[in-house]
Amino acid sequence: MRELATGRDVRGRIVAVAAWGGAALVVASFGLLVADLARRGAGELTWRYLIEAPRDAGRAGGILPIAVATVWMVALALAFAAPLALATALFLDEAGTPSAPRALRRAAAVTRRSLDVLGGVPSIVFGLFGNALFCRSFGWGYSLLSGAATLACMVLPLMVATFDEGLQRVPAAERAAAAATGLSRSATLRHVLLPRAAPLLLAGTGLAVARSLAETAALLFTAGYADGWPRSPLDSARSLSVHVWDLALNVAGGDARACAAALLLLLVVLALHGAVRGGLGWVLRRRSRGHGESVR
Amino acid sequence: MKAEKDCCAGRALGAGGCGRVAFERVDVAYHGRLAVRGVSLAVAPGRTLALVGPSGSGKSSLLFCVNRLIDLVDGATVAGRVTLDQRDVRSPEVDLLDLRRRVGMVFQRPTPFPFSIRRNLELPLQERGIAARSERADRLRAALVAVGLWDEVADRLERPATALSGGQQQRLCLARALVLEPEVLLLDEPCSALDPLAAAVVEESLAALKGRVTTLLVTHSLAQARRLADDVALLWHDGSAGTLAELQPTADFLGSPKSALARAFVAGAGR
Amino acid sequence: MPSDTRHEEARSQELRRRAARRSDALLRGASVFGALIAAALAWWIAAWLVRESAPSLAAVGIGGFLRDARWNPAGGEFGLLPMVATSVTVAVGALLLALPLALATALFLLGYAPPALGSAMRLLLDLLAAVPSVVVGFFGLIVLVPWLARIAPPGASLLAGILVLALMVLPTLAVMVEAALAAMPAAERSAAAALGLSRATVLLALALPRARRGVAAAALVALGRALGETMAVVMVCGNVVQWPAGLLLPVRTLTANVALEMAYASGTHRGALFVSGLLLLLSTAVLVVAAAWRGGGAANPERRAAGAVGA
Repeated sequence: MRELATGRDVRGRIVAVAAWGGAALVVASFGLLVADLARRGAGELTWRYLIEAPRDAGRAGGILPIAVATVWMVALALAFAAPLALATALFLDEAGTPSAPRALRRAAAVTRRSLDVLGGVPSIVFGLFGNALFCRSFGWGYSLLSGAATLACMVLPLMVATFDEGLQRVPAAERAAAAATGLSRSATLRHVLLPRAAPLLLAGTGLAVARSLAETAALLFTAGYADGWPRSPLDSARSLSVHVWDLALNVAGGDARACAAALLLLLVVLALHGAVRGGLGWVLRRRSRGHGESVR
Repeated sequence: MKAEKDCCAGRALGAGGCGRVAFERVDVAYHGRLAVRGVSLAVAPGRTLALVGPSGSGKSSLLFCVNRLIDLVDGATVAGRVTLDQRDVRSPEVDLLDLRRRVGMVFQRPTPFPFSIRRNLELPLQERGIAARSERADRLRAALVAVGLWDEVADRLERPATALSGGQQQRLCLARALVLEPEVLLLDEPCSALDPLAAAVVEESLAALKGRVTTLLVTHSLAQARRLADDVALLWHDGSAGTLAELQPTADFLGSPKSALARAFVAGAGR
Repeated sequence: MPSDTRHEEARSQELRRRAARRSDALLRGASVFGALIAAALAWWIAAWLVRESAPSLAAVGIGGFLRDARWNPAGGEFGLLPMVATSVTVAVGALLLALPLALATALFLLGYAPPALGSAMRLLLDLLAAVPSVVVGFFGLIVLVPWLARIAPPGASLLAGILVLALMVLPTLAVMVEAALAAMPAAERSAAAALGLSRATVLLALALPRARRGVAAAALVALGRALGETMAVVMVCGNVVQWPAGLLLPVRTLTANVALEMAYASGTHRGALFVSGLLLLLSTAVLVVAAAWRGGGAANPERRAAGAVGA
């Protein structure tokens, strides 16, 4: 709406000032957050920090075992969630075809709504659930595995949503061509759907990783607090986010190291988000340029 | 800037100017591709000019130049001069909002705002700064009377405008344009999206307004041009862009068209 | 021999067709299975929460949770109301603070930002939304709380919680409000422009009323997010269980309570924490459904995010 002329009256000016001012305030808050953390934590964020183990309850030393545990937890969570999300997205995709029976379409609607609700569930509730189901009922106790399973539940709605979006963007013309040549559903999946949806599949995975890294509340009483080397998936381990929490609230004098950990976490998450957005934009732009007329 | 001596004498509508529209060698291009080339024409105050021609000949583009609505179109560029009362509409001294209030426009499809009928008409008045409620009420009534809607909606001004029929909505849009007492009225095929009955009613309103406001009417129907217009301009796409093929008073255009193109057009399209 | 090769071909084609049917069936089975789990998960969570909280609900009774004056598990008192009130107050307060800012930002993006600046702003909003809550909470702890402690002691308080939560819900809110405002049809915009209506008028008098439903849905989503937030509020609110009677009082939300006490809770105490979890689940579920009903379709920020990512 920038093409519309602004009024020279007072109200027009007030609105303009409010708009610019609000935006400036948001930028300033974000800038303040990043700058302050960088200022405090950058000094501690050294190579040694990354490759040493924590000492003195984290007041000294580094974060290597924690970083490793975090990576393991996220990888396991993805291993659980990604196939499940893909399967669900494929179900939603098939139920979306015009010739699908009504029952199937209603099942898909119910699934979507349930996933919406799941997406709104507070992370602490996931923690309670994970504690009751994985730690107690399954008998895994406070472990990397419990944490990963809980994380998988949390990122499922996000992954399904993104995968679904990816599949929806497969041009109808290509699906029709596949059907016309008698391609089976699995062959269509392998040769048409997956390649076409690949950018958003990757994006969904990237976003899920970022979300898992950022998660704390769900891990507090599923994966626990142990800051040593996890020897098996059934060992308790802490993620980087839990480490920040512990140092900030439970360890007196842990502030400096907490700043470093928080800064590292922030940078990784922001870089991941930026990469997903940037990469996706680039891929989609390249595709639309190369396939000019065929994509809508 | 001086206005011409012959206008402004005995003018009933218009505040300040008299509504003389002129195009001087105007080109319009979209993303670099020329759509209209070298159009020059003038419309004297109070006269109605019908712009006819096949689709794609640039009729609507020219219309959009007068109130600079062409600025809203992505990638559109205009060369040449478009003047209102001999002042270039694109000169930096022109207040864009003031220009658009002096030039009213009705689009092909009725676009009532999702408010009550009253608010549809009052919003432009409030914007213009007419604070006195009585004056707004007077203008509102005058505009609705001018389009023949007053009797139909006087008792339900608070009802939503979207509840009106298509013909009524379009007349409301016309009233909304008139409520600001513009000097120029731009009509972009105002009847083509309406059913014949509604179209006829709208045309009646337009006929009643004839002579009071300078009007540029884009239309596909030569019959409508005959009924409503003083002059006809035929625009034709010559393979590269739209150009002005012929400009004459209506009777001459329909009775004895000068160019071969016009003759073919009248013969083929005249209904 | 020709007939042999034809026979061979027919056989291998038949084998391939059967293999294709098998893999299709497998695929179908897997996708149905996946969808079943995905759809059932929310219910499963609810079921487990009920299971774990049932004994406490029976022992203390719903009345107990509501009427007990204090939260003192050791002494058998399980009054949840002060913490419920705190959760609601913090969430509503954050929404009241964030909504005008989100509106201003949306107006900026839609009507005032040059294209390059607009893209940068959108990226910034996305990044701000991605900041982990523990990082925001930590920032609040080491910057906001000391600053508040100087001008309005003690610092760790309801106000700090509201400020931090507002920062967290702002980005998503701004994006959703902008989408709602931008939904004005182009024809209406042209008509408004032709009438000489100014930018501010079009945005406020035309686009905004039209966007009421979308803005309401966005507000509901933000409210759900704020209610469910744990880490940020634990770090800045002070964590004293009391009624949120004043902005500067240290308070504890329902979520913070679970986070702090779950580690050492057992028996009825643990069950009581599950009861509060159940309460949180129900309220956020209601908000999600309400938001979808109001906004129609992708009111879920996850789905909206997915759409925005691909855009």
